[in-house]
Amino acid sequence: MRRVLLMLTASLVLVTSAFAQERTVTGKVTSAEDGSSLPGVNVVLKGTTTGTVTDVDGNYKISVPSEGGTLVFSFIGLTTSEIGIGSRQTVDVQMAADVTQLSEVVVTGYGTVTKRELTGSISSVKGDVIENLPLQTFDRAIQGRLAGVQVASASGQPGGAINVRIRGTGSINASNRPLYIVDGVQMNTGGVSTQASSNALGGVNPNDIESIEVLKDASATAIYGAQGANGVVIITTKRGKAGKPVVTINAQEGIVEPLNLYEMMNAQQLAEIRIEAFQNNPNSGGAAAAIALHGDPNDANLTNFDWVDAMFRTSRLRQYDISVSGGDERTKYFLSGSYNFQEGQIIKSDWSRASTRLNVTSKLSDKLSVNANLSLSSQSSFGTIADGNFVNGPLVAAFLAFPNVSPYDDEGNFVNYGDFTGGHLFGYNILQGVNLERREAQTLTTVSNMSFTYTITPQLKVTAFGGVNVDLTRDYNNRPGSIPAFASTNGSALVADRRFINYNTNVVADYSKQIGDKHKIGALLGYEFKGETRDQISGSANQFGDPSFLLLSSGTPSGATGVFTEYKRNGVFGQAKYDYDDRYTVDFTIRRDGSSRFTPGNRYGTFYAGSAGWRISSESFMSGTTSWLDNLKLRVSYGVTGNSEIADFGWNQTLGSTTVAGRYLNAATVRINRPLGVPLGWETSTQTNIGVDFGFLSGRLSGSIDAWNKINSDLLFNQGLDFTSGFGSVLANVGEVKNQGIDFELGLVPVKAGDFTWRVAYNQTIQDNEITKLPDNAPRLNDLTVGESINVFYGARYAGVNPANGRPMYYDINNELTYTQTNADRVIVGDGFIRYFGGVSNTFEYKGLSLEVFFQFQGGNDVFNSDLFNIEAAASNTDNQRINQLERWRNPGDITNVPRAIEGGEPEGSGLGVFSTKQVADGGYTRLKQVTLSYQVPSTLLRKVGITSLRVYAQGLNLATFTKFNGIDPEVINEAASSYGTYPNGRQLTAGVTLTF
Amino acid sequence: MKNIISRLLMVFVVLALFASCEEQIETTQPDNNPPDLAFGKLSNFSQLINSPYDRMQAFNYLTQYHMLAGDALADNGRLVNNTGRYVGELINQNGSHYNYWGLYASINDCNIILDRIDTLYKIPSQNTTANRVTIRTIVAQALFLRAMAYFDMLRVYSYEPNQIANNWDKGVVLRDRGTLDVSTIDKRPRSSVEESYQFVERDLLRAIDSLSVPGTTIPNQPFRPIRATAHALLARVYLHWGKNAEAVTHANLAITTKPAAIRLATAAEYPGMWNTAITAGRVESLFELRIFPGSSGSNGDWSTVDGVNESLHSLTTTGISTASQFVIAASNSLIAAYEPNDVRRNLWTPVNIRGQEFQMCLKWSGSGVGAASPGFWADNIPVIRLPEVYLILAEANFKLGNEAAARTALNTLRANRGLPAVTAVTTGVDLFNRIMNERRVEFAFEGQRWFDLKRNGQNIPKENADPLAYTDFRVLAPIPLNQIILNPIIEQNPGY
Repeated sequence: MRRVLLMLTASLVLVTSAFAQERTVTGKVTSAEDGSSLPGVNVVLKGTTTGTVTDVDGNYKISVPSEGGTLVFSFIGLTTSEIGIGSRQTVDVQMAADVTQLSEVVVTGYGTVTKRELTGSISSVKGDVIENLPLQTFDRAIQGRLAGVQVASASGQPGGAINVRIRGTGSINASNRPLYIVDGVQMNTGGVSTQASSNALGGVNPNDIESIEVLKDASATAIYGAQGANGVVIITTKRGKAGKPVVTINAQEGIVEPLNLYEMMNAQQLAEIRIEAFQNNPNSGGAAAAIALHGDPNDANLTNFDWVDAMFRTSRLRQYDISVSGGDERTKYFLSGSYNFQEGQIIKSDWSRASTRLNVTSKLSDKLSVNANLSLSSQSSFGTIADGNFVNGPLVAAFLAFPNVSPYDDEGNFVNYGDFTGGHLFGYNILQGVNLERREAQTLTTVSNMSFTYTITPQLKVTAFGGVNVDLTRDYNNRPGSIPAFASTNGSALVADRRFINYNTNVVADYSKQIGDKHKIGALLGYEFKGETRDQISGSANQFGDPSFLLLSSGTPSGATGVFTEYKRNGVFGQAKYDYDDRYTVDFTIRRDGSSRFTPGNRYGTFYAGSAGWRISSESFMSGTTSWLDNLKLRVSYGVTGNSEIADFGWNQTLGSTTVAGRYLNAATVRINRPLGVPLGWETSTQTNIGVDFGFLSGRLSGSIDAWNKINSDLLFNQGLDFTSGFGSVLANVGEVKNQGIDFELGLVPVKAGDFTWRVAYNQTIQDNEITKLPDNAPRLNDLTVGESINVFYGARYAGVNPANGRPMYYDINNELTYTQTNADRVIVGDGFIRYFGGVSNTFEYKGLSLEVFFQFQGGNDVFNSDLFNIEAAASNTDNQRINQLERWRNPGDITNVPRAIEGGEPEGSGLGVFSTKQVADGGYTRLKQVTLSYQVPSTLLRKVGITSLRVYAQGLNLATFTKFNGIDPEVINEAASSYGTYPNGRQLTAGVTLTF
Repeated sequence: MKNIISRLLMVFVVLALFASCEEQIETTQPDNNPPDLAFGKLSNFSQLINSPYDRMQAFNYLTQYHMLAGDALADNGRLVNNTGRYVGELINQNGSHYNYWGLYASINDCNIILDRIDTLYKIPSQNTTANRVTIRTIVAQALFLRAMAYFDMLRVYSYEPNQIANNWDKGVVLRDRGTLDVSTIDKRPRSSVEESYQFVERDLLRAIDSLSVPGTTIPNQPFRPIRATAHALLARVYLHWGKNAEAVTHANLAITTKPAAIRLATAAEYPGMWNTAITAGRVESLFELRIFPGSSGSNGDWSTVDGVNESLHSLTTTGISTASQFVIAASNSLIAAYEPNDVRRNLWTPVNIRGQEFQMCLKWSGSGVGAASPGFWADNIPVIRLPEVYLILAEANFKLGNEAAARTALNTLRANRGLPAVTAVTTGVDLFNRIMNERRVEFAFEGQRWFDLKRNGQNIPKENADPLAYTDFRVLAPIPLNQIILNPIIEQNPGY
C-alpha cells in the first residue's frame, strides 16, 4: 500500500465549537489491503468543520450530534469513504487505495487542491520516487519523470549545473529557467561559484522532499504573474505526523565510472600521421621536424602515456541520511540530517554537502497556527575547468596532450610540458595544473520560512508568510608558482566572497465555502514583496614566497573588486474558483506585478488566466460507464504571464566605472555602459492549454494528454546593433517565439496477479519551436531566423574529400563543390531544438521485492560538437587525434571522409576551423537512466527486534546509452551553441540500506 | 455569487493601487551616474578619455596582434611552435586576418567626448582657466585616437586611395557623432576611401590646432600623444594617401615640434632601449601605449595565463621566462636583410628548437621578467617611434623626386644604427628598395611590413611559397559577417 504522508492541509483541520447536544463516536481506521492501522486519516463530520485525525494506531474520537450524521474519512492516495453513523458508538472503517488518485493533493501557488478539482496543467512527482537516488540535486532527479519538463544536466560535475525547460524555449536573452519555490521561498537559481560548476538548488537535500509540483500552463502559473512564463516548480518538504517518533536511517555507498570517452591515438599512431603532415607542408621542416616533436614511430622505446586514463578515474560516492518525525495533535515536527560526498570522474574534483532541516507546525490556539521550515546546508566542491576550449581544462587538454610525452620526469616530478612539445597547449602540463591548482567553492545555504495562519471564520483564513534564501559562497583559486605559467608572478591567489540574499513575504486571504450540496466557491487574495541582493568582494595577490602558501596575506596584494546589484518586485494577486456538483469547475486568476528591472514608468504589468474543467464521467448520462471508466475530465485554460529574468540594471544608461582592470595609467576609467533604447517592459507569454484526464479499468490505465501553445512576445532581446555605432547590442522588447506541443502522461498496470505487479509510467512531450518575429522585422539575426527554431546553426556543408588530392571540399550556395567556402555558402546545417523527450519507468513488484527500470530519452535535435575541431583535424593541427583520423586520405584515388594530413592545414582554401556539417550530429539518445532493485525485509521478522521497516537496495544510473552522437555524452551538450570540453555524466553504481524504527 | 466577485474585485483594485507604489521597488546601482549629470563635470571627461586607451589594449589590437600580424602576413615571420596562433596568417589562409571592426567602440567614446565636452564652457564652475587647458588636451586626444582608429581600419579593410585594385574603392563607415540613444543610429554604407582619408586628415589637423595653443601640454608622455605625435601620424596618413608633399611637411613638423627628450637612440643605446622599464617609456617613442602590469585593460589579466598566452614576450621568445611559447621567429629573408654591423641585427639570436635553428627576437623583453620590477610579461607598445618619421621623410621625398633629401633622412637614421651612409650612387629603384629594406629591419616585429608592401601596391613575398598577388582578395580583411547581416548596406570586401 502506498505510504504517503499526511496531507498538508491536515494541520489546518479545525476543531469546531461544540454543539448543544452531542455524543462521542470512536473507531479505528485500517487498510483494506493488509489490515494495518492507518494513522493520520482525516475524519470530518460532513457538512461541518468538525474533524479530527487518527492517531498512531489508527484510532480516532469525534464528537457528533446525538442524531448522528455522516463521517467522511479521507487520506491521500485512499478512496474517501462516507459512512453514516446512525446510532452507533463505534465506527470502524477499512479504507482502500484510490486507484483514480483523484484525492491526491496537488500544491498550487499559495494553496493546494485535489487532483479532482484541478483545471490547470500541473505535473507532480512524489518524494519517494526520487528518494535515495545518488543525485545531488532534486532538479536532476526529476529528469524524464514529468511530461513537458525537459531536464538536462549541463555538467557531470557532482552537484553541477542543470538546465530545466518547461514547455519549450520561449525566451532568447531572458532566462528560460523556471521559478523554483521551496516551501514558499522563491529560490536563487543558477551557479553560485566561479570555481566549480554549481547549482544554487544544491542546498536542498532531495531526501527531505515530500513532493515536487511543476506548474506548466498559464492557469497554474498566472498566480505567479511576472515570473510564471517559464513555469513554476514547487517543492514541498516533509512534515511530521502525529504519533510516536519515527526514525529513518539511510546509508548508501557506490562508485562513479567515466563513460564513453574519446579513443585517442597512441604515440606511434600519432607520430606516423604527423610525419605525413609535415611532409605535406614544405615550410614545416619535414619528417625530421615531426620526429623531433612526436618521436620516431619505429622507436621501440617511444614513450606512450595515456593522459586520459591519468585524468579520469572511477570515483566514490557515499550518502547518509537520518530523519526523525513525530508529534501530537497540536505540534508536529520533522527533523533531518544528511551527509553526501561524491568524487568526480576527473581527478581532484568532488562535491560534498552536509545539511540539516527542522520543519515544525503547531496549533497555537483554535484559530492560530504556525508553521516553520528551517534548513541549513554547507556544500563544498573542488571544481574542474570545463565548457570551453581551454588548455588548462582537463576535459579538453587531456585528450589533446602528446602521448609521446610523459607529464613526469624520472623522479616523478612534473615536467615543463611545453619544453617537450613545442609549446603545445601553450606549454601547460594539464596533469600538473589539475593536481596543483586549487579551485574550491564553499557555500552555506539556508532556505527558511515562517508563516502564521489565522482562521477568522471557518471559511476564511489569513496567512502571513516570510521566507529567506541566503547563499554565502566563498571561492578559492590558488595558482602556485610551481606551475610554469604562473611562475613569472610567483603564483597568484584569488579569494572571492559572494553573498546572495533573497527574501519574499506575502499575506494571503483564503476563502472557501460550500453552499448547499452542489456549489463550492473559493477565493484568494494576496500581496507579495520580493527583494534580492547580490554582492561580491574579492581580493587577489601574487608573488608568493612558496608554492605552498595559500593565504592572501602571504603574497603581494594585486587587486580588489566590489560588485553590488539588487532588484525588487511587488505584486498583488487574486483568484476566484467555482465548482458545481463536482462536474464543472472554473477559475480565474489575476496578478499585477512591478519589477525594478524595467524602465520607470514601464514597471507594472497585469497578468491573468482563466480555466475551466468538465468532469464528463460524473454526468448522469455517463452512469452506465462506471464499470470501466474511473474518470474522464476535460480541461481548458488560457492566460498571459510575464518574464523579467534579465539583468537588474539593464534599463538604465549610466556613465559608470569599468573594472579595476579597465584602467589606463592606473587611473580610473568610466564609459557609457549601454545605448539607450526603447524603455524596457515585461516579456509576455500567452499560453493556451487543452487537456484530458482519464482513468479506466479501476486504475489499470490512467493518464492525461495536454496540447499546448505558448507564444512569447515582446521578447527581452539583445538586439544586435550595427557595431559602427560603438555598441554591439541593446536590450529591447522585440521579437516573438512560438512553442507548441503535446504532453502525454500514462500509467499502466499490465499485470496484477497475486503478489506480482508490473506498473508502467510513461511520459513524453512532442514539441516544436519557431521564431515568428525578429527585431526590425529582419528575416535573420546572426543565426536566429524567422520560421526556424531558436537553436538552428549555420555552417558550411562538408562535401568530403577530393579523391584526387585529399583536400576537404564544401558545397557552395549553388551546390557546386568548392575548397573555399564563403559566408554566402553558410546555410542552416543543424537544429539544436529538442523535439521530443520523455521517460518510461517499469516497476515490478513481488512481495517485498521491487525492481524499477527507468529509461529516459530525447531527440529530434542536432548537436554541434566543437571537440571535433581539435581531435578530428586530420592531424593538421598539433593535437592528439581521435583514432578515426587514421582513415585520412593518403594516395590519389583514396575514398575517405578524412582529408590528407598537412601541418597547419591547407594554405589555399578554408582553414581548419571551418564549422561545417562535419561537426554536426544527431543529438537524440535513449538512456537506461536508472535500475533499482530493492528488497523489503518482511515486517514479521523485524517486529521482534523493534524495527518497523528494513529495505536494502542496489541501483545503477546511466547504465546504457543508445545514440548516434559523435561525442562523449549527448546529455550535457548545449542545445544552442557549440560545446567544447563539457563535463560528461558518469555511470553510478550504489548499494544501500534504509532502516525505520 | 456576483456580489462576492464584485467585492473581491474591488479589494483587488485597492490592493493593486497600493502595490503600484513605485517607491517600494526603487533600487540603486552604486558607482553609476546618469550621463546628463556626469557630463556636467570635467573630471568625468578626464576619466572617459581613458576608455579608448583601455580598449586599445585588446589582444587583437594594439598588443600582440598589431605588432606581429603585419610581419606574419608578409614575409618576416616563420612559425616555431604551433599553438594555433599565426599559423593561418603565415600562409595567408582565407580569413586569418585583422579584425579591427571593434575599434568603433573607441571611436564612439571619442565621439561622445567631442559631442559633449563643449557644454562645460557654459557651466561657470567648470569654465576655469585651468579647466580650459584640460578640455583642449582631452579634445585633442579624442581627435587623435579617433583618427588613429579610423586610419588603422582603413589600412586593413581598404586599398590605399592611389593603389586601388579590383575597382574596389570602399573606405570605412564614418561616424562623427556619439551614440547614446539607439534611435540616432542610422544605417550607413562605407564611405569612399578618399572621403575616409579626408575625415582622418581633418581630425588630425584639428588635434594639431588644439595642441598648438601655447600652454597646452598633455601629461604622461609618451603614454599619451602630443602635438608631434599628431604630425607624425598625419605624415603616415599622407604617405599612404600618396600626398607626399604633405607627408614631408608634417614629418618635418613632427621633428621640429617634438620635445628634445624624444630623440633617436644611438647605435650604442639602441638594443638597450628595448629593455626600458615600462614605467619610463622608450626614448624614441612619440606615443607608446602603456601596458599596466597585472591587468591589460578590459581584456584580461596579464599576471596570470593571459601573460603566457597573449604577451609579445611569450609569443616571440623562449628560455628567458618560464612557459614562454615562442610561436614566431624571423624568416630567413628578414635575417638576410640586415647589413653587416647593423646594431639591430643584435636583436636576433639563434635558438635551437628540436634540431632546427630559429632566429629569436629580443625586442620584446617582457620589461623585467624575473627582475624585481613589476613587469610580468608586459611590454609597452610603441605606436609611433621617431625613426618612422625619418623613414616617411625618405620615402615621401623619394616619391617626390627629391632623392638627396630622401638619402639625408635615411642616413640620419642609419648613422644611429651603426651603418654607413647611403651615397648618391644609390638612386631610383635601388634607393626605393633601400628605404623599404630600412623599414623592414627597423620595424621588424612591429607589424609594419604588411602595410609597407600594401601601401606601395607590391605583391607580398612569401618564404618557400609563391607571392601573394597584390590583387588577391586576401590582401583586404573580411568585415565580420554578423555586421553585414545587421546592416546589409555595408559592403563586404570582395572574395569573402
